[in-house]
Amino acid sequence: MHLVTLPFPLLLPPSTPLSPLHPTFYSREHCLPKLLPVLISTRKKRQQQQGPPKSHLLVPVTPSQLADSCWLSVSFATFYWMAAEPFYTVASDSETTGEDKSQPSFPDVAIGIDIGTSKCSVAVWNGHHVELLKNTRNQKGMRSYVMFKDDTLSAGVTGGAAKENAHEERDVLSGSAIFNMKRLIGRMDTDEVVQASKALPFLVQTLGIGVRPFIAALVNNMWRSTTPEEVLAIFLLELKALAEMHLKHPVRNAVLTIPVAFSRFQQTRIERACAMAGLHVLRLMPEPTAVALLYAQHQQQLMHDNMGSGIEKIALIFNMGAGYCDAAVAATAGGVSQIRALSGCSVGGEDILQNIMRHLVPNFDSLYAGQTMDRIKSMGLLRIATQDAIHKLASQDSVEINVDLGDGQKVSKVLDHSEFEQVNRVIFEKVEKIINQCLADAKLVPEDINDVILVGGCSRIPRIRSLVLGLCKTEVSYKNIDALEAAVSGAALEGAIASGVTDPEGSLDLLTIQATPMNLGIRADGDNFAAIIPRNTTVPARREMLFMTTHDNQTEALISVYEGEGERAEENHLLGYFKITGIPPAPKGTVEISVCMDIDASNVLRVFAGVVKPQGQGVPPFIEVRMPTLDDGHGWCGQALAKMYGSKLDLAVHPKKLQP
Amino acid sequence: LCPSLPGVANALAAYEIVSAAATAANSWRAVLGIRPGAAATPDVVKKQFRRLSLLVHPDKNRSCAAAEDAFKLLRQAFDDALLAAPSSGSADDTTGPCAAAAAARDGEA
Repeated sequence: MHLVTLPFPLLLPPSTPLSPLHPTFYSREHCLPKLLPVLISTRKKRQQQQGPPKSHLLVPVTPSQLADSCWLSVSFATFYWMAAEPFYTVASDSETTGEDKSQPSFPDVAIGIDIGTSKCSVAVWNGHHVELLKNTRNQKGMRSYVMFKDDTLSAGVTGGAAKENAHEERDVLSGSAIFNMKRLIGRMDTDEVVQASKALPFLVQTLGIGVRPFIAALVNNMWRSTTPEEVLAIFLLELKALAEMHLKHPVRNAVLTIPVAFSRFQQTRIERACAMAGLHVLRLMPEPTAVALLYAQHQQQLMHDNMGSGIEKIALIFNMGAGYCDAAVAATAGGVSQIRALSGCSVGGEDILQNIMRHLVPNFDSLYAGQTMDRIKSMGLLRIATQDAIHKLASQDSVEINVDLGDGQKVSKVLDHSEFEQVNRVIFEKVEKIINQCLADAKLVPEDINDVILVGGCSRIPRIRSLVLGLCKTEVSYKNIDALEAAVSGAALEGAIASGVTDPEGSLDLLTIQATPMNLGIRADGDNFAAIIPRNTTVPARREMLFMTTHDNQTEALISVYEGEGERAEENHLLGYFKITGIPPAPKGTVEISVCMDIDASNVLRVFAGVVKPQGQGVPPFIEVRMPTLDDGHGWCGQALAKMYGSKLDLAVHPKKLQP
Repeated sequence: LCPSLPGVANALAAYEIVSAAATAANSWRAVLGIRPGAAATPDVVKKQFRRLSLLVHPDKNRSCAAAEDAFKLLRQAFDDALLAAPSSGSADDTTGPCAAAAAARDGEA
């Protein structure tokens, strides 16, 4: 059939990275790396100057880019004076955009970045092994936040740079810093994770209608608006600068780790933030699969050392950080790690923290309903005390919490394990659910698991450890992996592999064969969801399914593409929709429509659809759509479509054949 | 050969997989490089799949379209092979009407 692209000749031209379909094509990255540092460095200067100088826009930006709300949502005035600044005032590292063409000598190895909800790290393949980079304060794991102070922005990578104005935890919690952006990015204001984020010290305002939440940081007693993408971009820019300082050459490509539970729409937000920071995303890897790659490397080394037989080993990888919790089952042998199942949910340390805070202060929600200055301060104190207590509980039987919240509010309590576990029961149940689902999807029983790998900050909580190990019917976890550095090390390995680095000693003869974390399909048979690419399908993948018309003389059909686990279409996440028009009139059920989904190596999803029966000249051409096409309103677009068209444009799954 | 395939070995492996898949409908033996008559136990199939994956997986070939298609064919052959392979007492559900769909979802078991 004409859909199948023939792989021959093998002499295809190398696929150009800048196709118009590519997110980097609309090249924010060409101007933003220059602009962001300007933004950061010139905000200071603005105070010294008397207002913006009058001049025309000189930056290479099209009106559509300006109109794009995701592009920095700084006010136009800011943009105006910023643009009027001559470019030689760029104080930061950036950049060599002009030079790197003339110096192609540096190895273009992608860096690995782990953007955690609470901590971030960056690692590179240095030719022999993975090296984690440290910031000026000698930290490998850098607190994820961006501080908005007066007219400067600074992220947690440098942490306020100089010692005298180094940020402390209470500064981060003062409302001036935005953190937890990984929980907020790409989510609508009806999302429960966004609702829970209202208990953070900065402003998260929701209207509950399915649009993006309004997020703002406190600057000089004013809420200044921002977006999670912008915050992440500023953070990534500092990480990039750190990597460039170590490597002494410009960095362009990156491999980032993401939670399994991230929707495709959230992935596009991460890509956009990277583009704003001047990074090209080579791969987005689910966190446990990055750990699986590291495990494959360990197993390969063991095999070399012991002349082992290369027997397949099954590992269950459990990762729980501050914002998300994921599990994966990987079958590993000979340096190849094949992901057999993935599962995840947006539950993490932040939820545990909030549960404990609500337990300590029963009137938490009414007390902190309005964000006044003293309430923010008081909540910060409570957060620090609670965080500290949770950390201590990992090694102690009980912990005493004494904190004066001001305004006559005092918390004085002894918290022990049983109380801690009682308060967080729901979280442990969710953890249990995703592990069981992962094992069931991999069609394995606990006895099949050779190694249990626990990573992420929350894997240090004794109850979580014992729960996961208990479910896998084992006593000990895999020891040779650092819980906090595993994901970023795996990402750096993948960066080296996908950049085409080869090692003569064979230490990079590694591979992770990825799988899709969620079902992908379309709405069919009324409101049902027909999965075309089921979850845990190996990527790259291409699957096809046949559908038929549901009405006599139906000339149009609506293809609504969804992602998720629900049986009904509306329970899932709408990625986009399009119409097939010009279907030849025929009795219902006689027209066959093929819908084909293709995920390529870079995890880009394309949907091809068209009429396959009848054939001939009277049939419209196929349509190819790159998903997701929706930018906003995932909830109500589906409802609006249903209201407008009802079942007029519906399709039904063809009973004859599902998949060749 | 294809400029984005880094080595001759990768290009040859991709070429062999694609031409083997084009020869016959049920070509998993040829694609996986298992000779007719040789035992195709799950272990052998997995081993061949891993060996060839290291050569033709897109991660190893900088997103060359030819490699991507070769890998998809390889994966399909792997599923077919495990379906056809003599049952080795593993949890593989190779009977019943849903076998094809189940295997497609999770070929290796």
